[in-house]
Amino acid sequence: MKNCINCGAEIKKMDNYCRKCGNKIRNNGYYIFVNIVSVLLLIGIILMVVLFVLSYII
Amino acid sequence: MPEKRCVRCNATLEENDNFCYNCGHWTSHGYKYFKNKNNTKVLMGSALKQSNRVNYLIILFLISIVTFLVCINIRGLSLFKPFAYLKKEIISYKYGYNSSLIKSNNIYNNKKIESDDDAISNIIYDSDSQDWLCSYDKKVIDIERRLEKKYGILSVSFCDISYEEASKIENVINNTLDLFPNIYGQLTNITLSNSKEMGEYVAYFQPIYRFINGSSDITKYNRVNKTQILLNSYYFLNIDKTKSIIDSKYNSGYYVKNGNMESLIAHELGHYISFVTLLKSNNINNTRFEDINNTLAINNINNTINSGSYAKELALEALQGKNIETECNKISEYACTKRNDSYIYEEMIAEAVHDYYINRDNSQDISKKIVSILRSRL
Repeated sequence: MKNCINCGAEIKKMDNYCRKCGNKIRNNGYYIFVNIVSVLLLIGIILMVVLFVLSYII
Repeated sequence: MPEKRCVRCNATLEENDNFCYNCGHWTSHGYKYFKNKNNTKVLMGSALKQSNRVNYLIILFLISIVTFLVCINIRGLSLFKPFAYLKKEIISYKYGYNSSLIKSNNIYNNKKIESDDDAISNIIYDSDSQDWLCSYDKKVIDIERRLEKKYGILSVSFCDISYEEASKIENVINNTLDLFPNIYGQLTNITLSNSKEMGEYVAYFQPIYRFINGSSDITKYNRVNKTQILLNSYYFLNIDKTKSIIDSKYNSGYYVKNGNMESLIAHELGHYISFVTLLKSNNINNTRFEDINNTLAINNINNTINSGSYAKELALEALQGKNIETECNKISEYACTKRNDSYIYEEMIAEAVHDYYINRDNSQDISKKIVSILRSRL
């Protein structure tokens, strides 16, 4: 039996939404994807700025 | 007790459900539950933050696109200079010597070239588009611009050559070309280059390098040719490592005495000056733009260079009946270079210029004579 990541309430197999807090039930892969892509984009922006500065120095 | 059902989707609900498990709609129990403000913190769990992260993702994506576009718009390809620097460092570590990333042997085919101006802009673009592969040194760039302006050279690219070395090269070019009149505008490039074989040459003159449409039909595509001097990066980027090789060649008498690595450029300029006299004797201004009207003349020039007949005629005029073996050995061993048992007279002429550049009034008589003939033909 899974638990809601928002409130910790028990989730049944066929549930689309948490019965306690109404959070839409998504699989772990969704959250992993969103977090990883966010971090990558942030790193990308920082890298771009660093590259921009370094291109004047080197 | 009647079954509790969702008012939106009619799913069967349990007594304590705050939200419908099927469509997420509020239930009456949920409404009462969340009227108590203490219970609202259930809604603010980590999933809400996770859901918001999707919005952040979209915003981040847009920011990254805009940042990239702004940076590339301002810097162009120079934005990637740090990568080029890193690649050069890796090559240096891997092979034990410094190397350049620029390519001096680009060739294009089936490209529309309408005029000499097109030819000029393509030659300049081929060099400028590789600027990002080179380290930035304003003082070296200033030297490049000075040489381009003074001698009408379309592109001078010293790339990663140090300022000290570039100054020496500038000195050699100035002190050699200033000896000769009317040599403005025929040289298209002086550029750093990687030779295929390490140590193949220190510097090299290419009178007619087929740059654009060299193997295309001249009736359909006009051609662009470069007249260029290549500086081998193996020597010019690794002065300390290659000094002993150069010194040993000078000490053994292979090259003209009292010379150094940079003065070898005077040798290549000797080839260039000889080439210019050949062009002038054929009433050709330059060979960079080749079309159906002048292709025959340019091919004749190429054939003359390959046969060595012009250089031979010039050398014999300077020798005035004297023994060539004796005279060329006075200059250097390299001046007496042979191919298939025949002297390569171009090398004698170039070494004569080299000798005159270094030793001036103390140069060999044959060198002075050759220089005098070259001047008269300009």
